[in-house]
Amino acid sequence: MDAEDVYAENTWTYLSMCTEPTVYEGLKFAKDILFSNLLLRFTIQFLPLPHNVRHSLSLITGVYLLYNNIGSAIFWTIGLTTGSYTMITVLSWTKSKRRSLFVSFTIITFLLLCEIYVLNPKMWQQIRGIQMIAAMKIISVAIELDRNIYNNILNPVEYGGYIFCPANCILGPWMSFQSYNKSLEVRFLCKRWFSIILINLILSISFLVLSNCLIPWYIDDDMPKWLIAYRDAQAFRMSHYFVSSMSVLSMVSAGFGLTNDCHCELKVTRPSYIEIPRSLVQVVVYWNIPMHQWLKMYVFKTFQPYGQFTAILITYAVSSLLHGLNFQLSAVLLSIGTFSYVEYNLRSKIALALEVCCLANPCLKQCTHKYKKNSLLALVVNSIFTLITIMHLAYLGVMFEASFSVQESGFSYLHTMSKWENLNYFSHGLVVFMYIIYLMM
Amino acid sequence: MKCLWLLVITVLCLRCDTAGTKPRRGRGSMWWGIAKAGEPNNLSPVSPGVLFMDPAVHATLRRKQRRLARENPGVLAAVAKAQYAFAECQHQFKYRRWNCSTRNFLRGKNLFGKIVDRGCRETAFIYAITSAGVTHSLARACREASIESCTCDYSHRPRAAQNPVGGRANVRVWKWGGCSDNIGFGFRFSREFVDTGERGKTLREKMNLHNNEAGRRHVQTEMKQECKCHGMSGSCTVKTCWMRLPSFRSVGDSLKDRFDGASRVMLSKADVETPAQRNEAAPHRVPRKDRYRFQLRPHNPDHKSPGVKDLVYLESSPGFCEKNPRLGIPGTHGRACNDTSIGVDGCDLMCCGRGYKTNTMFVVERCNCTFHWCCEVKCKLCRTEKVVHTCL
Repeated sequence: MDAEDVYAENTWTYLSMCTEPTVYEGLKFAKDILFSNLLLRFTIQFLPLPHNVRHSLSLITGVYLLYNNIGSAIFWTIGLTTGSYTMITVLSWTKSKRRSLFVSFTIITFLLLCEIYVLNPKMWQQIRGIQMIAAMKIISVAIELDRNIYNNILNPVEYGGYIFCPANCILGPWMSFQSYNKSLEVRFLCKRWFSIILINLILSISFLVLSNCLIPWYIDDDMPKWLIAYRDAQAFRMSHYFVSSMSVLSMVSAGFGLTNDCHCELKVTRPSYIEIPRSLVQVVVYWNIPMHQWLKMYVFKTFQPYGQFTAILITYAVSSLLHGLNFQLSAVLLSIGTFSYVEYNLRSKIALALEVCCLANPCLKQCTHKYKKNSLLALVVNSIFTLITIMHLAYLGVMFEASFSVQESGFSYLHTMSKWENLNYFSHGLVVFMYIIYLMM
Repeated sequence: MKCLWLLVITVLCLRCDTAGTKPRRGRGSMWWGIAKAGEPNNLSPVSPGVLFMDPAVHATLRRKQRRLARENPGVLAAVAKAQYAFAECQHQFKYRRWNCSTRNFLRGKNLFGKIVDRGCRETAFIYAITSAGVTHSLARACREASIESCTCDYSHRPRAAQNPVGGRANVRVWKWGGCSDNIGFGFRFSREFVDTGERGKTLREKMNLHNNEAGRRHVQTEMKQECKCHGMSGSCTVKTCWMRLPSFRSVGDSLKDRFDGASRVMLSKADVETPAQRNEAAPHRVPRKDRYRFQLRPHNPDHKSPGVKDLVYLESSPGFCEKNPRLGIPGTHGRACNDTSIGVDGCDLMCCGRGYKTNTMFVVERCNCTFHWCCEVKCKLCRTEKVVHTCL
């Protein structure tokens, strides 16, 4: 017997070795989230509590959940929350008209300073997402205060309960203060609710297994580099779907994001629109729908008076600043911005020239073009753009696949550039080429 | 009958004992026999019941080992599977004068020939790799849930948790979850099973214990932790990790490195004196935990004393050139060698200067293999001419 055969790991052993602990860890993570959220929901459901007690309950369960997950790093989040609340109150006393601008600026500066001066990059990688969600909530509160949406300034318990709400303080998604407040008052209980929780749990664990075990395995390392890039990017996307469905799970289990007749109306991401994308613009929209709404509502709309292009530019800038001063994320976001800008314009020109339904966003009602969306020409053109988008996604997503130490402590400039260099900066070249075509058309 | 057999072995050992150290160690390594017993078709290693019942297998085990096998159904099959340690040993020593050849003795002790009676490097390697094989195989069997008594140790913490490295208070140390490759079970059980009979009293028993432990340590330290981060936009809010056993090839490679740098030892002064004192105080046995707490002293006082992962030996190796029935050495007659190499696999060294003959033969082997997606490898059969050199 050849010695090699003896230790060759067969597929099944490999998969079971990876799947089992993955599922276990996924469930362990879900357990904490489910526990605190169900605790919150059942208390609200069965005990008639006054307004402020409900909010403080949300605050307490949220802090408990966060502490359980990140340990003492929670003080960074607490600091951010109390600091911003103090600032908002002080600014309200001075009757400042531009509270939101000051607050947003301070918070973003704080996040950047954290990134530079927090000594332990591992810890920063761990709490970055949490800080980002908190920052988004704080900025939205500040802006809504400026827009006079609330009758008076939030009290500390409401504010803390909103920021630390266990349903979305860890993985998001962002939700507005009004919908948070409303959901805390609503009482409901139905059988469907349990099945929604179960479905989301199964969904998120499946995405986790796909991301950890199945996708890294199904394309081998000695395949062409674009296939490997596609695989790595897909593993990253699956990880994102895992996080998104886990966040839906936590929202639903706390009773948020449900319609009156007990259907889940909350959508964080749409895997089908991203895996087979129509355009990069759609990917940007469906990647994280609440985040997109937040950017649209609070950043884009605020800066719209200064012109469309400026507003888009500022939106991208804010989005990347919220992610921190990280070269990789900024590069990816900036690339997505320019890629989708070029694509959007090129497609509208092509649609005009060939009279074909191939805009970046599908025509909503009656399409005015000569060739409708099911015509052969439209299908061909749209498929070409789909392929280009899939390639862009592989190109942009590949850098999130890295050795664990890199993942844990953040991506460097060199890491990003080496990944792109390996693919010969192909997507950037292609976009330049597309832009030239656009200019010549 | 058994006693008689034992007596014969003992007498033989005493007779072939030339170096003066007493190599008598009971039947500690007899279990090697069951690993070999799984091979012929009279036994099927996959059905543990059959394996356990077989009297031939039974006879190779000590009483304690039999008890362990009885209490932990499925363990014997896993130990029997550890025969890949023999294959690994043969792979590592393919190009050396001593090539780790085994014979078809059901009696485990004689599996590697009488070389194990000598406390030399080769013996050290045999002990280490077989003990590593059992650890590896048991850890794997535990994951595959073929051992009933091995439950997943969910509370277990990985080694990283014990190290202060990276363990800043505000970053929670990842806890080992899941059942992936339960090294803890393999390690503990291997200590119980493999080290039965090595009481650690004589120098030779200490050598065996040390080498067995070294083999296990190699498996343990080469466990890999694979992790992945999940969180919003590439952050690391959730970490998922799993432990992964090393391939046995890498264990064999590192043990081979230690073989090349093995240290010759003698008992340290303190240890020479303690057994006598201990015998007065506690005449029966050394407490089990204490069994592993001894320090061997390098033979050459200028050398460093051996670490836990180092292999140790007591006496220099015999020559492996000529047939030596007294030591069970087959010699290198008829071994294949490489005429262009100047290393140990070269014909000059391998044949010990006796010269070699060259034959040309045709072999049919697989070639031009192509990978078809997914997942098939197709090969052609080619007839190639091969020049084979064999020692005279």
